[in-house]
Amino acid sequence: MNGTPRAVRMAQALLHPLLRLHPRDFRERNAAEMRAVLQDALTEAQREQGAGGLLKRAAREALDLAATAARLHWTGADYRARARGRKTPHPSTPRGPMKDETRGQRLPRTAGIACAVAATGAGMLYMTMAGAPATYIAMNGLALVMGLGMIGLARTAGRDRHLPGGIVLVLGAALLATALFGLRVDGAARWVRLGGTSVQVSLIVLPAMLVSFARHRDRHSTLGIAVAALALAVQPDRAMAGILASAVAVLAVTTRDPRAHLALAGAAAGFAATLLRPDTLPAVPYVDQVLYTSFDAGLVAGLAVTGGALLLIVPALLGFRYDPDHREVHAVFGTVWLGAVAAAALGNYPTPLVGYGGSAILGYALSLSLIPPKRHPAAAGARAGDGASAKAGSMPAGAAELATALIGRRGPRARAWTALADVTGEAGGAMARRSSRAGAVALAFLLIAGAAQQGDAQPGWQPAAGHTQIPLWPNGPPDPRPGVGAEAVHYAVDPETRQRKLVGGRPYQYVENVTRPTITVYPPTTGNTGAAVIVYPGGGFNVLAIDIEGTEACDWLTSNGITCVLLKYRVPCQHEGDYRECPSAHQDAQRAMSIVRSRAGEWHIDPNRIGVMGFSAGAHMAIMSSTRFDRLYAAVDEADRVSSRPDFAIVLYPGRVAYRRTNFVPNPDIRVTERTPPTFLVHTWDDPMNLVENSLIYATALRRAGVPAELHVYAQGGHAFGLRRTELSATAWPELAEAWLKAIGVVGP
Amino acid sequence: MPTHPEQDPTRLLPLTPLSLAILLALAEGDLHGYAIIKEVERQTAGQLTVGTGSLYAALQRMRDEALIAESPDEPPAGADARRRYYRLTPYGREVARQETQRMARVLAVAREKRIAPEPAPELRPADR
Repeated sequence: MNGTPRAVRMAQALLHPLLRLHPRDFRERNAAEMRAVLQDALTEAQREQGAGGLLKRAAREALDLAATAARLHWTGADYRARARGRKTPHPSTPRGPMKDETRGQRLPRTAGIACAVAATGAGMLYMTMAGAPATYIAMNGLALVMGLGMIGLARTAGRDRHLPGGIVLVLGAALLATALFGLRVDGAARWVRLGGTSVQVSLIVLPAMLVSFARHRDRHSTLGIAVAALALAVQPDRAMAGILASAVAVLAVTTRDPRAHLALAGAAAGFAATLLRPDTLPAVPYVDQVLYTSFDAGLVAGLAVTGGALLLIVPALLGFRYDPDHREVHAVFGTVWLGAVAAAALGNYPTPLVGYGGSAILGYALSLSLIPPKRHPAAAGARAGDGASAKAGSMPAGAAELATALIGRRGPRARAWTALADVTGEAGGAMARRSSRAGAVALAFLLIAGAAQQGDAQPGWQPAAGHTQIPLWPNGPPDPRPGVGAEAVHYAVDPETRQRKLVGGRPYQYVENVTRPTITVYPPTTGNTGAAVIVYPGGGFNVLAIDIEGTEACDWLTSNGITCVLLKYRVPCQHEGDYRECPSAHQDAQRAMSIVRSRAGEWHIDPNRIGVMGFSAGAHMAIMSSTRFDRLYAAVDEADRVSSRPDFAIVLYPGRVAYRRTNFVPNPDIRVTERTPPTFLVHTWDDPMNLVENSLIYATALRRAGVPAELHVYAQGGHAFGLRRTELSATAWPELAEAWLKAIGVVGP
Repeated sequence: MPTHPEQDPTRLLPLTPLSLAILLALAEGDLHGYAIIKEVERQTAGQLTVGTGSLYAALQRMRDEALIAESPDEPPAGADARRRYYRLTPYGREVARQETQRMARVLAVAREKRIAPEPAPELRPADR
């Protein structure tokens, strides 16, 4: 070993615990040899491809080892018998997949390992397809390896352990410490910095605490859960508090332990406290909202994310079905992770095991390692008779107690619960079990849905005092899509540092989840020239960069005597086709122009000097406005009889004109004609998001059609700089635009 | 051709790509685990990459099916004591032969239907 490079030894240290996951007979036979092979493989990868090659090889081997272990457990140890004579099963191996005791014992945990690997793999697949930074993907892979290593170590350390109550209390205190001293982002303190990344502590420790609490309740662990509830209320973290309350509620329903009821009181209080304060954390790209946005990266990516998320509760379902002695533990495990998926579906919360971070991956592995192995069938059988009937009666009674605990007195609803419990209790074992299980799941959903409902109270984006938003569509937009959440305004945040992103030394905001599009009119602040410009902010059709590419553009326009009309168009949209078009945005743009032109007299605007100005995705909208004059929706009122053609267009770093991957074939939906209005184009040579070819190709088309245009290409400046002045010359473009507006006669000399 | 007692060599067909690749890798001599991984990668031009877990799961299964066996010979001097060498059994050789024949028949049908290309005519020195 002395000659082995240090990096290889580290990789080995991560991989060797995974060998522990394999069935014992296989392990005893092969583990030593497999270690030798791993060493050879890692050493060679390091020698030939350096650290990157080593990391890649180690990740591949880790996934392969975990998958093989799961497969061997799944197919069982009797493959030998089946190989020798497929017709005659080995006498010692009874048929029926779950009856075999050696196989059933660790089934939920083994299935959990497979699910964790598959879900993380699906998440990494999604991130690859969506073009997420490589560090995100590597971080998830590393978290998975660490998580699997933890499970392996837990198995080595001793069998079947839950966390002692004292440890649960310490973990609860750790959560409280995070709440008080942790990394604070937009008013929420959920993270601690650890080795260059931020870790959400609650996501790691809370599932393990809850699974432990489900297995064993004492004074300390009950207090620990209550402290955790307090911590989540202080942070605040509504989603985790909801998950905690749901899981403890399920536990209170399935057991009659007064400690569970005590913990429930604490958890419910903590959850209620989080409802009082708004939860306004920004969505992080590739992490939050991925259940929806993943479908934009393709059907496969979308299915990978949804399928991966649903896989997480499979171990709970298996455990519930095949391990009747630990139903409450499996119910709690399932509730926690179903709750996490529900939180992701309803708010800006990371989808577990998918997306940047890895906290959830570690949390999943940790909670999985605490799932009990199935009791020995002989031992279980001894108490199966009385156990089943006693439980059948106890669960509905628990529901009644829960209702009392929740409502606080025996009101009519509590009586209804009690009556229901009595009826189902008398209806007999299976029925009662099923209905109370359904009740517990429904309750969990209600709690989390309640959290999301509360979130809807957010007002969304509002213009500065003195301005009002005018809805575009009096009867609602054409083909409305159900909102994926409440409209909200956030600061752009770097997902790695959790710090606000800066442009020109200042942070910037964006609006998300716009379902009711509006325009806001900003009259000129100096002498009115009679000209007007409708501004389309950028944001990839997912969000709107409302200040840096919206209100700040209006400040510039109005100070030049031009009326500014800020369009808040619908986002996110269903991207369509090869060029990821967004029909709803183009509808909103057309409608906005028709309204402005039809009300020109009222707003002191010359109807023949109304232009458009767009940034990035909004620049693409400006191009569409300049080239498509046929109405993209059924006319709503008189305004739609007025032309939607702009009189001039300012197009800033546009996209979706042509893509490198299709060899820069121009978007066929852009039809430049001699009716396309005069255009002012700005792009930077080093724009990493929308390549400069977009502007070059569009400018060429304008030239061919004989449309007057002006094109500015700067060496440096990147993307999405808006109008903020920096030391780069690209940011001086507004002065050139002012000169151009004079040159084409929009504003006076 | 001696085969595994009472076993029909076509019984295990079709083989998984990994099983066949391992049988072919061992056709020319005994190899240890990592050498099998390298040889499989070489003979499939890198198309089939094998992880350690998959390899040992396959080796164990193939050993139980008597396709391969541990080499009874002493390992070469200076070799890692943890390493075992694997060799093809006569039965395994016969199974590999049957499998490749089966594949040849598939290929013949594919050529007939013009899905697979005809084999390139052999170039004689005069044609060059």
